[in-house]
Amino acid sequence: MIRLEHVTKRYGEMMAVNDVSIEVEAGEFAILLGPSGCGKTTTLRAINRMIDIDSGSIFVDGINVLERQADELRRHIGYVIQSIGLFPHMTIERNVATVPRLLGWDAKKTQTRVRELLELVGLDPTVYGPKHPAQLSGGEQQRVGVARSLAADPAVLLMDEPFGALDPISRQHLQVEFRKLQRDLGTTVVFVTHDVEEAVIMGDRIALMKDGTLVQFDTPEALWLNPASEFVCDFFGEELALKILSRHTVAGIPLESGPVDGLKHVSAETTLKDTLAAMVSSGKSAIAVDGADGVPAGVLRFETLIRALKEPS
Amino acid sequence: MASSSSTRAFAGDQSIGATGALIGALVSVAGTYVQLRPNRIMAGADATAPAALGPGAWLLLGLWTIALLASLPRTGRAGALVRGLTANIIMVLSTLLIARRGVVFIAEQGDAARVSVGLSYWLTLLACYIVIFSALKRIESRPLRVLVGISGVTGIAVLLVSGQLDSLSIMQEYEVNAEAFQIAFRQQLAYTVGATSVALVIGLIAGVFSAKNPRVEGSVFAVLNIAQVLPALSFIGLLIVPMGWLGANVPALGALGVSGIGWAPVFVVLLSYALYPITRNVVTALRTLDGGVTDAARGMGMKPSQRLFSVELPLSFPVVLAGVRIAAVQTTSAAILAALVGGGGLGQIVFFGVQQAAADLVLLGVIPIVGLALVIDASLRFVEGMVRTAQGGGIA
Repeated sequence: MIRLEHVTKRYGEMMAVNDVSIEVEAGEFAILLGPSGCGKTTTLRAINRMIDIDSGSIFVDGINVLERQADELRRHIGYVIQSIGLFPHMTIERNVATVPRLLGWDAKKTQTRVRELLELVGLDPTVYGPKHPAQLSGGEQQRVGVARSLAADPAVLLMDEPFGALDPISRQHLQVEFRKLQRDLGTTVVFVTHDVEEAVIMGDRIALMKDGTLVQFDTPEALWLNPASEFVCDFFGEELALKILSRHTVAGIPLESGPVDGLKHVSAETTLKDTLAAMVSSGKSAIAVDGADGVPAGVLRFETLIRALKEPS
Repeated sequence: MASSSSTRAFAGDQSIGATGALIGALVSVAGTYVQLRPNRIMAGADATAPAALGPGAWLLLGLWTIALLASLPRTGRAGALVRGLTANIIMVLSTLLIARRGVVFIAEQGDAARVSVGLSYWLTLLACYIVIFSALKRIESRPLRVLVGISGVTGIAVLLVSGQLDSLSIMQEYEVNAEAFQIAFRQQLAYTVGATSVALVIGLIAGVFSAKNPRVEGSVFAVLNIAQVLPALSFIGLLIVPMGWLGANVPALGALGVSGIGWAPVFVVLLSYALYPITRNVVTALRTLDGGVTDAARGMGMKPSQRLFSVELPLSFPVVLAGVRIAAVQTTSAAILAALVGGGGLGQIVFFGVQQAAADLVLLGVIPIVGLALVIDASLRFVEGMVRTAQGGGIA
């Protein structure tokens, strides 16, 4: 869906992006991760031509972006930034209607779409539609930012630390909700962050960058099990294993039969992170897993959990 | 501990209020409040308020005492309201008392008799404004602010229109010069409105290009800076020859009345002065726009012209309007110079007054200029506030 081939961008002597090639599948959630100054934002902004690259090529849906008129291209690629950038002098409705109006949709179609989008991001259109951005909380504003970017139903969405300025609770909510929304819509997302936790929770694959180069582009599990270099290990640290636990649930891990007396109970949908936490807090190296009917289906042992994680299905 | 001692002491606005009230009380008993002359030429008698107004002066003094008491510590918001309203009453009452005294004096001395206000009266108005200013620092409710802010001026305007002030010398000067005054006033207004609106159009264009291109900015402001530092009178002088040549050699301009003297050079000077604040504010507003907003506008695929007209200029509007306000006020007072080169305006009334050594005729020119500047300033501030409120969705 998105293909970067040998993309290079220089600022004077500095190589902001150095020969980066990445291919993102349709419907995939790809993360650009790395320390500040690693070139992740520059790479992202090259995709919708907010920045013009020096060499290499970028294809979106098979079309070379350099051959398209930049404004026209951007109307079909969603764009969400950390500072949100809602237009303060326009109502929420008008903000969300920006791209449909640019595309010349008629008023009725635009209005229907705006209501639909606000509902999609969990904001009541009748309440929020007529308000101005200053009357909304940061979290609500970024919901509007997401709705605005999805207005023309783009196949590709570019997000530059979209939840970075939010308080931890709104951030967590938006991460979960947005990930679900993205799966439902099947939108291809390229998402810039410097937060490892956010990257591991949300990304299908993570492109780790350093000094303008791509270090490794793979699933979090593969980055953990098969790191390409010392830098990958150092960047993620030992805690990566714990973060990966929250990506998986108990479902699919072989259970043993045995007595469940005195054990804590979890369900098949519980994440491995919560399962491990329950083991630690109960002081036992095993936990009872309940089936869909609420009756214990078996016992999960700590050793089994660790082994399952090392051999991801 | 600190708070209990601070409630006993004067707060900032209260000490300002008390100072104003003391000045007011002082000039109610001392200094020239009214000048009484048998006719326009003869030197007259300077009278203090008690001498000229009798019991009225003691009434004023009593009101000032109320204003002073309402400035004492711990009088709070009620005190502010009382002293603010009292100051407004004093403004109207002192003006009316002098006019009533004038009626009696003219009845005694005949129609040629003149009654003018003196320094102590002007100081009374100043004291009133000090007290009103101090009161507004503490009053938050919008209707009450308007009441305290303008009821005195409105009261004097009502007295003026209803003919209650006709016995004052300045109004007699108006009676004699009514036609000239009205022409001059319209000319003054035309200079302000004309120069400011042309400057707005040019300033917007120059400002937009300057904001996008530092090199354009350099040349635009090089020219505007020169115009800004030239003294108005020498600027007009410099224009006499080129404007005269244009008027004589370009028939279209000649037909409009462009010549080395008259309205044209004055208009050019006023326009040049007005351009600076407007252009500067356009550039500043565009440069200081929220980067996230302009980035989002670009990222969603707005063309440069769409960004300019639907995002950048609307968001710059309050700051641009502030530039227009400065330009308009500045132009209003600078247009007084038009009279020096036969360009008309209220300056003409002022210069007539100076020639005839008639102080009240000078005032007849000056007061409307000050009034006009204040009205323009207040109304544009009001519009600015409305725009900001509308853009922020009701949040200041």
